[in-house]
Amino acid sequence: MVDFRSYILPTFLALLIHGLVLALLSTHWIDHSEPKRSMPRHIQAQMIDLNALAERQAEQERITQEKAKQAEAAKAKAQREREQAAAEKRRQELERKKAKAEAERKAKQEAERKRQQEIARKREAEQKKKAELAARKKAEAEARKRKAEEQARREAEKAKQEAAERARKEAERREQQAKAEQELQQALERERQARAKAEAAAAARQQSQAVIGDIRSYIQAVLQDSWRIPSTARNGMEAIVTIHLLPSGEVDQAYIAKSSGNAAFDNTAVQAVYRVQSFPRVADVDPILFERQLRKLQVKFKPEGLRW
Amino acid sequence: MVKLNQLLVLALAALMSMSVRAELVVEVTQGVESPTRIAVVPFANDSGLALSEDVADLVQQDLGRSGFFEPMARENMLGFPSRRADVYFRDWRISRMDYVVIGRVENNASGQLNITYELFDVLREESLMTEPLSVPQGGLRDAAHFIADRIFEELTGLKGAFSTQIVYVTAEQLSAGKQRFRLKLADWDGARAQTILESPEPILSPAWSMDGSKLAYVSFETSKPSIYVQHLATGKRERIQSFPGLNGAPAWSPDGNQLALVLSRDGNPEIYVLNLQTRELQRITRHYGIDTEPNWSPDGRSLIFTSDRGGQPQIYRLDLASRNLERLTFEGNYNASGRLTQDGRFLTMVHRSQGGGNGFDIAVQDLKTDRVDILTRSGLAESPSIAPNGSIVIYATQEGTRGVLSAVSLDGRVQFRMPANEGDVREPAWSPYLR
Amino acid sequence: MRVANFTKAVAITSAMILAGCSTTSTTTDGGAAGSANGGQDGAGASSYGANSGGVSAGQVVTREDLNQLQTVFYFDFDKAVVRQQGFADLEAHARYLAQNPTASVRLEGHADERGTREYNMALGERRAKSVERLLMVNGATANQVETVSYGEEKPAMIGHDAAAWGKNRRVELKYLSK
Repeated sequence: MVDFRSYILPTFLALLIHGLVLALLSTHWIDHSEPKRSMPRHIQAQMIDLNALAERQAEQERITQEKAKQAEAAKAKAQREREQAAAEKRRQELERKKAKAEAERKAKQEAERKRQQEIARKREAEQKKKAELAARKKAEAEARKRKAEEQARREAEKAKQEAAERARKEAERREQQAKAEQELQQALERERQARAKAEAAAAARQQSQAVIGDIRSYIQAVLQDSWRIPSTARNGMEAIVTIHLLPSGEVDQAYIAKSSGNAAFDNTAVQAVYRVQSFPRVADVDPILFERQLRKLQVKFKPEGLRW
Repeated sequence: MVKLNQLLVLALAALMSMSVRAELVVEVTQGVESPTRIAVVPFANDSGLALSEDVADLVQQDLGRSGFFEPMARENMLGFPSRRADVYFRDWRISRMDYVVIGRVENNASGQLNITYELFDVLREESLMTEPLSVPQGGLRDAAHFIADRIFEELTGLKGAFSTQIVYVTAEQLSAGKQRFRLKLADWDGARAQTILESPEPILSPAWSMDGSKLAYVSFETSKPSIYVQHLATGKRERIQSFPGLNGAPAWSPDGNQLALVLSRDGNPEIYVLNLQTRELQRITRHYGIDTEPNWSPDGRSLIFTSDRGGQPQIYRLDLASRNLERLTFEGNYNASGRLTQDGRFLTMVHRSQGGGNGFDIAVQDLKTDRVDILTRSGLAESPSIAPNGSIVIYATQEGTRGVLSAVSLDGRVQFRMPANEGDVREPAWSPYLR
Repeated sequence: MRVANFTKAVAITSAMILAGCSTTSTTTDGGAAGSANGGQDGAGASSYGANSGGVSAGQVVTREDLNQLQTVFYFDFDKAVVRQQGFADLEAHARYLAQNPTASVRLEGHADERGTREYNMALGERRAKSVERLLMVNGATANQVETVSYGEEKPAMIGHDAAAWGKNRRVELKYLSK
């Protein structure tokens, strides 16, 4: 395998040189032969064409004449005779021409045969000369080839080593690249998965936040309707009530998580929750969301805009 | 790149776990500013006696007049339970009541009446308090005010002022140029009124001592004004040293040892403080304008008074130690008769607004924010006097040609006429907590 | 002729003063009060014209003359300034007191019902005091005059309108001894 490869380049070079020589020789040969060969064929073809055309015309005329003969019955006989004579004359003429053409052709054939003989002779010499040259060239090439082969072998050896090194490096590089590629793919995959997960979570969160936002407004509205702010309330008071809800929205219990410092005020806040009794819309909330955010919630009662 | 992504993922995870852990917080900043609904069920009379008073009705009236409660009319009640077992919370909830009071009156062995009352929280379905009382047969009214006080305190956090009293002055035109003045003492709701002084000459400016045992007032019985101090228990009274000109507007210091008053003995009305033990008289104001109507701050450290030193009557505060003078009122062209609530935060007064015509009304000023709210629209209101718990202001006004007493809650939500009294009524003064 | 002209001038001037007073009282006490006072003052003014003829400067004021003199003097809302049309009569009272050292008067100051009782007490006091001052600058001595304020406690006219209020913002001069 390796040995065969080392001969590729020299062989290719040798073939290239042979090819070039052949191409040069063939050009000479074509230049000489082409005008002589093409001229007679050209004339012959013209004549055959004319003859065929004339026959077709004659036939056509004949048909026309037949027709005319039918039209002019009386004239026809005399004319036929004249025409037979004319036809005979034409036949003779044609034969004469034929004979002449035959003679000419034979002469030409002879000339051609002589010319061909000459060409063959020339070609033989040429080939002999060429073979000698080729042999000489071959010997030279042989020597060059051996030298080149030696050189090539050394170079190939070197190249082989280099190639091996390169290949090793390349393989190494490829391996690394493949590894990096793999790692990148894995990272991308991880990232994609993480992003998908985060997006899903964000979407879920957004969704649940929207729900929670709605529920918050709802609970707020219900409690604002329910809360009776006592006369003793003052701006700035603040009580935080913890509410435990059941999934049905019913108030399980409510108690003060952070007192306002005014027991009566705190009491009204808790009362506001108990007065509501149930927040029915809470029942529509997703159970997981309910568990997370609504089972236990904080309500800050902080009056605003009071007179005092 | 990879690290950044990992960080992002971590951050997201952290955010998610946080949002999971955070509790939902709902903020309620608005509500219904309406009184608390309470049903005071008629007390069962198991004594076998005809009772002189409807205790539950008195409790209901007290609570209703405070402005803090909206009692349920009896005709709307679905039942009259008098024992815990008969209280159906669902029914009261349907009636939209927050609280229910039941009670019963029974005889006891010692010839007195036992009253048992119980307060229920309808929404939480629980009993808040129950208490047996033993009272003489004539003590039903006191018992009713006592029960109202207890309920009021339980539900509002403020001490009830239903067991307090008021004094006021009545005037009758007997014939042309002949009048009869009376100083009267009554329950806060006007019931059980009794005359404690009668005179053909004007009586005015009654003032309670802080312990509720004495009154100071101005009487013209010698055809000149003099300040008297009368002991309520005994009726015994003494005349404070009298000076030429004005002797008026007495006001007890919170410790009961001093009396602020107005004398014009030095030419024009000025504020003085009389030490009741040493009889030492100290002049407080020095101005050619009118200085009158002194009243003590609850801490006794300063006096508020009316002065026209600025051109129109306005209320000022004088720090007794530093003698630092501060004008308190700026809204309106007439502010007088200033009184402070026990917490010192609110100032009630007679007020006439700028360009508001001739109307004199009761106004309250928040000394923290200086916001002024006009509580009445009667046009001729005067002599505001604040209940000791600061929830209600009693004042005198005109109805037809007669003076009557009215009351308004300090927040202006509830306003009511005191029961009709004979003659022309004026100068109400609300007692401190008694007993 | 000259005397007649002078009298006319006095009459016109006093009329102008009256008109001015009416206008002033309208703005300070409200329209109804002002016009009521105007009517009241007009009546007082005619008695002033008659009196000024009877009791002139330097003349002895007799007991009988006292009956002709005005004894009630009216004031504007929240004011203690004696109106000018009362000056001549007050001067006559002062001369009587100066001429009769044993005579003494009591000045009772009053206010209308508007405003607080204690402030009105002070206002009545101030009105009595300003009448007292006018008596004293015209010859009365301090021990001949005592003042008392009834504030709004003793109205001259019962009522809650400008007419009643105008009647009640007053100082009454009462002889304790003549």
